[in-house]
Amino acid sequence: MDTHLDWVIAAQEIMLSAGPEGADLMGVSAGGALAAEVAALWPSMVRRLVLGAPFGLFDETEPVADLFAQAPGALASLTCNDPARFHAALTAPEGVDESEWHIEQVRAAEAVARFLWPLGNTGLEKRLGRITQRVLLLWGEGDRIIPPSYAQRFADGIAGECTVRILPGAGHLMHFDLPEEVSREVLAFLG
Amino acid sequence: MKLLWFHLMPYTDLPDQFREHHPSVWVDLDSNLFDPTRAHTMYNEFMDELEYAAQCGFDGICVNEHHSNGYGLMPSPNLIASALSRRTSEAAICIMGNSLALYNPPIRMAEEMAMIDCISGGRVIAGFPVGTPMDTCYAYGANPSMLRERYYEAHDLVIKAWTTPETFTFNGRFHQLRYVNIWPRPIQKPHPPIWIPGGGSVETWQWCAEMDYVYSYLSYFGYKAGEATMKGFWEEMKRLGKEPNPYRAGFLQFVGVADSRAEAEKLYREPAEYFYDRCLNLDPRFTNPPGYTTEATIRAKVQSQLAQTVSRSSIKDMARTWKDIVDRGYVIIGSPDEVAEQLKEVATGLNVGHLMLLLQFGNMDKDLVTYNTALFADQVMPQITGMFDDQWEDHWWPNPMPREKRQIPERMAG
Repeated sequence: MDTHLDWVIAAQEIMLSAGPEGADLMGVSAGGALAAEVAALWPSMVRRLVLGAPFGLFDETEPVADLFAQAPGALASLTCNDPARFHAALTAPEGVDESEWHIEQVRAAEAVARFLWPLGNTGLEKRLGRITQRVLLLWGEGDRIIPPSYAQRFADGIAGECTVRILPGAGHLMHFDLPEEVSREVLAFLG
Repeated sequence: MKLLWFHLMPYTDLPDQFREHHPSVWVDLDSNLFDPTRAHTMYNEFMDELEYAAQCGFDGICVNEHHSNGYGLMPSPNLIASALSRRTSEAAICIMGNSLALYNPPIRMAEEMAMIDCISGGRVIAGFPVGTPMDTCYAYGANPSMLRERYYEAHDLVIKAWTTPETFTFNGRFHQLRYVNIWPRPIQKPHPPIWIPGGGSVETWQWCAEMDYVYSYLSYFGYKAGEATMKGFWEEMKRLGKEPNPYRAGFLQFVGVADSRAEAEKLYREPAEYFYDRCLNLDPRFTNPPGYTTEATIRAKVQSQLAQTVSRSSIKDMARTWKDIVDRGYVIIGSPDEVAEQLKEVATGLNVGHLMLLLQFGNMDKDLVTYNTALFADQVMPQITGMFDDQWEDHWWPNPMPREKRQIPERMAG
């Protein structure tokens, strides 16, 4: 996975498993950057699109925080309003080898780094106008990674009808902070 | 035994309470702390010191590469190396080194090192570090997950550029060039000796063995902390069937010589504490981007003794005051005989034939550097310079043009 194109194609190949009628697609954070691309480039594969605080844009005057230049242990409170939820989600489940779990976490972090280094600017801005699907755009009001003002930038660029929901009480990883509310919003939108 | 004289070129005016008021000596260090007129003095004095070391008979003089860094003022070591080539005539010009993944295109390094090799009459040692996370990923935006892959491809391109007589096309994963034909080419054939400044990863050791490069451990924490790594290195060499020629290895050691230990403490205490307290004020935000450390190394550290060694000399547990600095062997100090004795132990204990000595460290001023260098050359060097040579040959040393064929720079009048 060397280039942005490699990543986008890999994401599209996942969508192939949904079959020829396409499917609804949801992506959060780094996943949001890829979900938006698939919707933009293969409109017939994606019915409705849900994005949660997606990466992909960058403005020097209002920069995205550097996920990879944080003190050890700082990510929990940086990405979630409730750090305990971050730790709960990333604690090794019962019976799983701790060092293997640790390696998995490192691999996941490396994948995000490999995809987004250094600014998370993927050139997505040029392609937002190709998103013609109905879009639900969720953003934690307390997002300390990507400023909530980026929601408007996405909404302005997306051609399709875009519903923006800013969620009080949620940080960047809004599905960790407010799992029930996020589920309700998504199911209502897709329903 | 080869004795090299290494300069980090630290900014020697970092303020008191630096650690308390500034979280990082690297990457986002406050540029208001940098006074270019002071740097004018520093650079010129540092080059005087390197040239003096060459004059004193050190086998080589060393420069290295750092970016956005308060303790290493050489983003371009080649600039310094080329100046040194004109003002020295015998010493090896040890570029330790060019951070391969950061030059675009990589043939830039092949060209510049070839230039310096020509100018110096064939005295270059070509060092190729991967580079620290700070230098590569944060200051230069290199993707940590692809850094090593880019490094290896850049290496291959540089070697090919040095050794392929005809113009060739390079269709690489990261670099594509249609006409590679560097002018100049190096004097040394097939190319200058290659040394790899590395940390503790097994992959680097294996690669050095496979490529027949010198593995050079540039630790700031001296021989005690270096033991586990060098032991691991030599075990791997044995496993791979390589003879234990000490010239396969290099090691960095801080040294302060004086008439006595007591005198050494008076002279070197402040510069040593300056280095470990201010220069090594590393911000953990920048030390470990995902993908920089390979998975194999992570697994090894999790499971092996290496983890304990690393943590003993890790930034959190690092010694920053004189007594601990000396007790832990970060800096070797004492009378010439005491220093010679300790360095003999370092050389034999670690089995290292290339000792890179840091005789300027921290905020040491030029007078003290001159004193340290002269005393070392006069009374320590003779005691250790002959080590290993009865038994081993150094195949990794420059092979310059014969002295009588080399150009002597014209001196300017007045």
